[in-house]
Amino acid sequence: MTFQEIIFKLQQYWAERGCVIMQPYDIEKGAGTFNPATTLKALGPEPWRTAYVEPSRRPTDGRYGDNPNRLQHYYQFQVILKPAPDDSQQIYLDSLVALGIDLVEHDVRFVEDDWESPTLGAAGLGWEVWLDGMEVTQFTYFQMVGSIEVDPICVELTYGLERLGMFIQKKDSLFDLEWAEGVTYGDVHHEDEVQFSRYNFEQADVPMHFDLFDKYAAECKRLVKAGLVLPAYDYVLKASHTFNMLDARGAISVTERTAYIGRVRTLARLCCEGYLTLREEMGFPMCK
Amino acid sequence: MKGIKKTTMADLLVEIGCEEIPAGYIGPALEQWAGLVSGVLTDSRLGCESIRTAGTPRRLALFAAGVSEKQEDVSIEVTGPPVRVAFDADGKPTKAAIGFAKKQGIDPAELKLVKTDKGEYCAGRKEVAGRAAKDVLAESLPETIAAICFPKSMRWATGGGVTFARPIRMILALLDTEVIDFEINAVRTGRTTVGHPFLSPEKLTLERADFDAWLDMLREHHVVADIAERRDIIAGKISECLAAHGSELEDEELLREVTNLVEFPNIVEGSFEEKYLKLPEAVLEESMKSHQRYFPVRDAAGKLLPRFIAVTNRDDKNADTIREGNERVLRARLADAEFFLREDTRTPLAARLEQLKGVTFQVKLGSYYDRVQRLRGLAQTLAQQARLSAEQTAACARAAELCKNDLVTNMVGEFPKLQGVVGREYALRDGEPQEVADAIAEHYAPRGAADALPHTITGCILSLAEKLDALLGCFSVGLAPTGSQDPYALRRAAQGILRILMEQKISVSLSDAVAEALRLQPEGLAEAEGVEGRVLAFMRDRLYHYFTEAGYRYDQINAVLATGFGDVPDTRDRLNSVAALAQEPGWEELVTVVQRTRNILKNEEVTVDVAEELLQEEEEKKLWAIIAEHEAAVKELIDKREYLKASELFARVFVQSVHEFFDKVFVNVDDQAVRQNRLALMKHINDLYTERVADLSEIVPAEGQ
Repeated sequence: MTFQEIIFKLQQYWAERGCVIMQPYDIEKGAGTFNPATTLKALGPEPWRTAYVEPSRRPTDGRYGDNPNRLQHYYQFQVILKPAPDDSQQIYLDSLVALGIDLVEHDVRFVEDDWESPTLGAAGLGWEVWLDGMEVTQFTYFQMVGSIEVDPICVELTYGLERLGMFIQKKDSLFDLEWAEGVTYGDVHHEDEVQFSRYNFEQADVPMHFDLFDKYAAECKRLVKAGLVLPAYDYVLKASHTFNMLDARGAISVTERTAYIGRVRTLARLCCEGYLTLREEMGFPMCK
Repeated sequence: MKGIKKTTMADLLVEIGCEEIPAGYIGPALEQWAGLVSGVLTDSRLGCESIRTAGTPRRLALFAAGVSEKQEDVSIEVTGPPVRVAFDADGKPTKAAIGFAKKQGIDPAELKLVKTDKGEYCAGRKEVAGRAAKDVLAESLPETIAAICFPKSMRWATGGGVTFARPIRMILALLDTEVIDFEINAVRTGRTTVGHPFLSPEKLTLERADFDAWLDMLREHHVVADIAERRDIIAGKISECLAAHGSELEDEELLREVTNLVEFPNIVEGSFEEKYLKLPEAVLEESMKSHQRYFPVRDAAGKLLPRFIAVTNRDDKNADTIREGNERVLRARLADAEFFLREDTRTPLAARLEQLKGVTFQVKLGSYYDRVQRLRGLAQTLAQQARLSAEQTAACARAAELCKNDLVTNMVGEFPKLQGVVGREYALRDGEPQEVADAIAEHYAPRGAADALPHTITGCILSLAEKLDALLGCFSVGLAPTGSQDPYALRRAAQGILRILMEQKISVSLSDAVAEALRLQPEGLAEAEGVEGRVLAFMRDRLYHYFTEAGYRYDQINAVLATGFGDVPDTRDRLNSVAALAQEPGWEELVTVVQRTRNILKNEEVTVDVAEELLQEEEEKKLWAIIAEHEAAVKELIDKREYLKASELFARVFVQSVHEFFDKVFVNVDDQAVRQNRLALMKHINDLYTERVADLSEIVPAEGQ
């Protein structure tokens, strides 16, 4: 099964289970959780099911394309089921079966992992799912998003597509993954890793990024005040990515780190509160 | 009146089926739950003969044998209206009393009169029928389940409800053959359970609450529910596997953890490429253990082999597939570690010092860079005090310069537990001397009361410096431990300092070391009032604690500490001598001499030395002569730390003579000069012992004397 076929299969599987298949959100982000289809739609009483591929950027994880397991740009497959069904685990396991993974043949394990995103003010309890020792999915029951306790609880499934691909295709290096017939992941992305690692670690303009961070933060606050929470949330994403860039450049010391993360968390909370109010004013239209 | 009906006994079995509970939660949860259920059974007069528990990641189970099927009937006294309302002039029950009796189900003729604090009332005995255990438990069992505390609990049901470690999906609750009916977050109890989720996913029905039948049924369906049994199976398999390589299972902690990660315990043995054996051993071990929970494999000589053991939740049928998968995962981790090693070693360890400026130790105490400057100074001073050679002193200073640099390497970023060990590895690769590298690795030791001490002298010195700096720094910015709060682990640091000094026999002056560590703190902090005294008092407490734990008598400890504890190994030598002397026949006399010479000085200020010309009586002249003859010898023995011999000599020359002095000489004479002179004589003798060995006036007579 090629890398793209894995994506097709997952989209198909989750579409059949009532998920809205979304497309990636067009702003840099560290994980699929940051997509407003997760962060914002996890809030409030409205039911919501979605699945989408999310390109994710973690500038500090860049390895110049030298490391067979790490990337500064990678793909997640994100699923949100709200409210969390009683058979969440089984539905998830069936998605592995749909990918042709025999659950009797392989050792599937749910290993404790308390997931937390301090920048989003989000936290949940769940597991890393292991296949023969390889972590392929993060399985989380959200408890809090945007510093707000969620009710109903939703379940978030985050498949690491490269890991899953390496497991299915039995590859030792993600660059050897077969993306489509005759085309490898390396063919598609290796040079990106080289160039962006150099940019992230060596070239990114530090003063410009500090300046951008402040501007994004200010714009976010201004927009929240103006009642435009959706555009405001875009600036949370931009500020968060800018912080990650500064972090990769080693421009932020350990003490400052906490303060910067706190600033993004506050912005995220403002947007989440604003979004919840907005939906309430609209009468939670998706509660049918 | 009803007779007491003999109740029959029943057995109770409850199983909570969950999604995977964290391994560390299972044991403590079962223990708590057993306590809660036992409490409920006692309080509700149902009792039980014994409680057993079992658990896996997917189920917590409790079995109580010999629970009464029904509560005993009880008769309780109920109080009605006051007498003046309840009975008429003829003493017959009024309407009010009859109404009360009817409501309570009592015959009005049985109503009696009771005296209470508030006056006289009518009262009667009411028979309360015991309820069926099934009904009582249907109310109380869900409460016990909801009351189990976990380090972290979660919500999963809409609208709140009970929180638990992970979602509850099934509950089996049987009292003998009957289902105890209740629900938790819309999950209703029943008599079914389920086998291994992948190997035997069928629903299983249990006829009655029979624990062994339940265990057997699950065992047949690929679930070993008994924790000890599961542990033994894994331990047996691993031991067998290790025996083939000539080694034994050692890691109890990892064994305990993996036991609670699986329902059907099995293992696979895998291997990795020889080339990864070039990685530092600690890195290899950590790569296997920390994330993957693999057991490393060693040969008979203790050398790591390119193999590992993974505990699985599957039978042997697909062992090859599972092995290959796990090998691929470990290979990826080792490739990562190799990458970190390559990246890290591009920069010499020493060149990372600047980066420490960005790592804060504590806001007021500055960065790790600042801290390293202090450690270098302190290590140097301590090395000199401990009379290390110039080369060793230089090694201590060099190790101090390098000891925190590994905090900013990729490897420690990935494996935080390996701080120090990674530093040693990189230092050696940079060609630093062995003793410098060892000191870097050892400077965090001991990490706990039972942990090993640094083995090398440079490691000891650097560890002392590190801990003294933490103590003085934290005390001077108001972060001294309070009650159970000790976020900077300062008690452990103090204990570590004392253990190193004592067990590695390093004679540096504690007060000098404390003063120097304080002097090096950031500007403005060293002047903080009383820090030195508070730290020394803190150390004294820890030392007292240490000696008590070691089994010494409290009064002997006090006697020795009263003399001083600046030289820690010497303090222990003195304590050992005192403890030995206390077993000797002359002990009481020795104590008496010290106590008599001490008592006479109470509330006195002696400002003069003994003046020979003021000695009048024969006994005091004799004492002075004894001092002249033996003082030097006593002091010489003390200087040589021969405390037993010194004490024996002191006792031999002073016991008799001091008693004679007190018998014959009156100290409190009117002539102040003579009086002062006699006090000075007593002080001279007292000081000779208490200032150098132990203040035996602290000794409390043994019981019965």
